[in-house]
Amino acid sequence: MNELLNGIPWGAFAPIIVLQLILMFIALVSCIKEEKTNGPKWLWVLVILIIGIIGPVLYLVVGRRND
Amino acid sequence: MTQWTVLYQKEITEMVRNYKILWIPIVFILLGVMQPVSSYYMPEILDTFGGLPEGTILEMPTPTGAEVLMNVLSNYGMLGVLILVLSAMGVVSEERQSGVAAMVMIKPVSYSLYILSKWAGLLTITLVSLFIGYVASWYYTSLLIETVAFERIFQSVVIYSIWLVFVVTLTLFFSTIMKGNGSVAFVTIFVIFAISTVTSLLGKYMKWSPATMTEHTGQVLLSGKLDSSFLLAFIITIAIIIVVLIATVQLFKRKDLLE
Repeated sequence: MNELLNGIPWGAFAPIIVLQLILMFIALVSCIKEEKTNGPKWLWVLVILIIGIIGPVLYLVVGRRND
Repeated sequence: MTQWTVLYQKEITEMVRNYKILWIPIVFILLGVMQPVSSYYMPEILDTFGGLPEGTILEMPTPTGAEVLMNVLSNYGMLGVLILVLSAMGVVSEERQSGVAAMVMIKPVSYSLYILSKWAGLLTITLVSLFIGYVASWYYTSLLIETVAFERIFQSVVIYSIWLVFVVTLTLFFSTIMKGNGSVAFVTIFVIFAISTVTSLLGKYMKWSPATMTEHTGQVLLSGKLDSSFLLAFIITIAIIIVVLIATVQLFKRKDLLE
């Protein structure tokens, strides 16, 4: 396992992971601040946290109720 | 002109407030960066997770840098367009439903200024995302695969952005004439898909189609040369964009502001 971890070139992957985390953070903040989301809020939080990139994007695109 | 600046600033503020200014570029960067990374590590990924029997030898040609970037652009053409359309679908229709449009139009603001500010706002986010994402992708491609000349990157991104401008203009048009976010997005994506499909099916007769921009982009990336039909397609695309914008303003005038 350690070997596998050491083999990963962090220089290339670190920015991707950071960006993903930022995306997740934006979606989470937006979801928590929103009074009402399309569908249950706790479900969206789970979706954002669990489904990699697609979860936050999905929330940002269809989860918000813009008024 | 100051009035326009105020309206444009309102668009930008709104995009800051709903984080669009952040997350759309991030998604474009991720889409752009994933492609070179995954084509670089494909053999290892298959090795580790592919579950191939021991001793299988896979001869996989490493794609050239230009090919990787072409794949990036085709990702933008699918997922990028989808995200752009979905995030822009409510641009006018929502403001009309919530009454914001009526509030703006009570003031002596001309209809064309209103639509133009919306259009400029959409263009800003689209082009910024495309440029940032593409440059990030170019950086990763140079790092992992091979360097691609910057002129080609520049030319291809400029040509590609014309196609995205066309897409966004269509979204604005349908958002003005229709109500309901879902239907706007559905119709826009359907129309874009139809244009692309017809263009690729009837390539011979569709040399003028805006969808050929994606083909021209690929050609510039691979060979650095432009097809002779580019000028025609370019002029027609710009003309369609202008006509659609004028139609948007005219139809917006005729519609009731509150639905």
